[in-house]
Amino acid sequence: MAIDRKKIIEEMVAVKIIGDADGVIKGFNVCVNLMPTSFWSGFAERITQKANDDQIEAIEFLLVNAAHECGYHTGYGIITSDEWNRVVAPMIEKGPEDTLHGAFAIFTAWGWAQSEIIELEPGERMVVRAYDYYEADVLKYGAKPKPCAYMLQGVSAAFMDLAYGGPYDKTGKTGIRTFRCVQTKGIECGDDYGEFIVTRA
Amino acid sequence: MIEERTTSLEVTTKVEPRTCRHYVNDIPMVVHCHHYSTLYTQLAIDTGETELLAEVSEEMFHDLLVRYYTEHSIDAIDDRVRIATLYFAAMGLGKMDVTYLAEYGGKVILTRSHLDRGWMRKWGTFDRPINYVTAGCCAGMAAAILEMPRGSFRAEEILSMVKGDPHSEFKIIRR
Repeated sequence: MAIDRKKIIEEMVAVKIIGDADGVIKGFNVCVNLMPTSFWSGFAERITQKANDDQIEAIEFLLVNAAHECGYHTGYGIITSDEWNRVVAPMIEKGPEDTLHGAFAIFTAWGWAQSEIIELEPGERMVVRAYDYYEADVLKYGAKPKPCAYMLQGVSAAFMDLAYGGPYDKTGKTGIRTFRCVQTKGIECGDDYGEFIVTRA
Repeated sequence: MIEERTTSLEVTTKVEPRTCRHYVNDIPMVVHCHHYSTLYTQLAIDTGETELLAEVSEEMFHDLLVRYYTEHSIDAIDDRVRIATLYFAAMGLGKMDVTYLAEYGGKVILTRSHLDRGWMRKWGTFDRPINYVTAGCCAGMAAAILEMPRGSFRAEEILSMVKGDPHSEFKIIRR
């Protein structure tokens, strides 16, 4: 594999992202914000804790879906960006597989989760491990009964959609949700890492 | 000659080498896109939890500002207001102008808005305001600036770019 994960991380970590005088951050063909991790995980934690048995499945689905759409559209913006073309594109030999490894290197570099692909069956199945992620920060003591890294679940599925789900569709009508993700381990559950298994939906 | 001093926002960024977590002014922060923030807002609307979204935002912005004011000894109200608007912009949330702030309320105008622009890019206009995140920021900001407890204020969005208004406007109300 030609992907130099260490080099990608070194280069991408240095990219500065901050709002201009108009409060706008442009990049990757999306509107970008930069907010405390406690905002995102705090809302997710509080809305799921408040949910009753009838609501929880739908709420969790929608939290994952928010990340799935983010991962799909912003992910496409990233893999077609100047930064990608400068650093990652020259390393790519096997299109979709190397693109996926490169995407998870960037996912690490920009602080979403320290994560990597452990297994990849092209077009069919991917296993990702995350050794550090902000979504686990809500836990202060003990272990949660079930995994809840919703953002990681959604983005993992989205990256497989981009790699093997057909041409990117900005309308979101095709391509996205070709794959789904199940989280089988979580730091928030007392495991050493989060594990995310992506398969065809 | 009178020399005007303009308070500027000091931003220090660092990255933890092992995990690559990013910190702005020692606060862990992360980049997300308008798809994510719009869908969070939609989830809050669908579940009737818009107050919760505003509350989480209020807590976030209040605590961030209080920390900054304390660490940098920002005591003057004018300076605190300016820092708040600059921090809001630095986070990519938009351009905020505080028209006034008083013990029992205030008014904030938003001429650029990440939440509104993102919503309209994704879905077009809507028949009611959606910027609960900025409403929360306004409430948290008011308490931080006036050194009142978090939760002292709430904010209502009375004009909204998503609805087609030329700018958004927030009325800050003392609880």
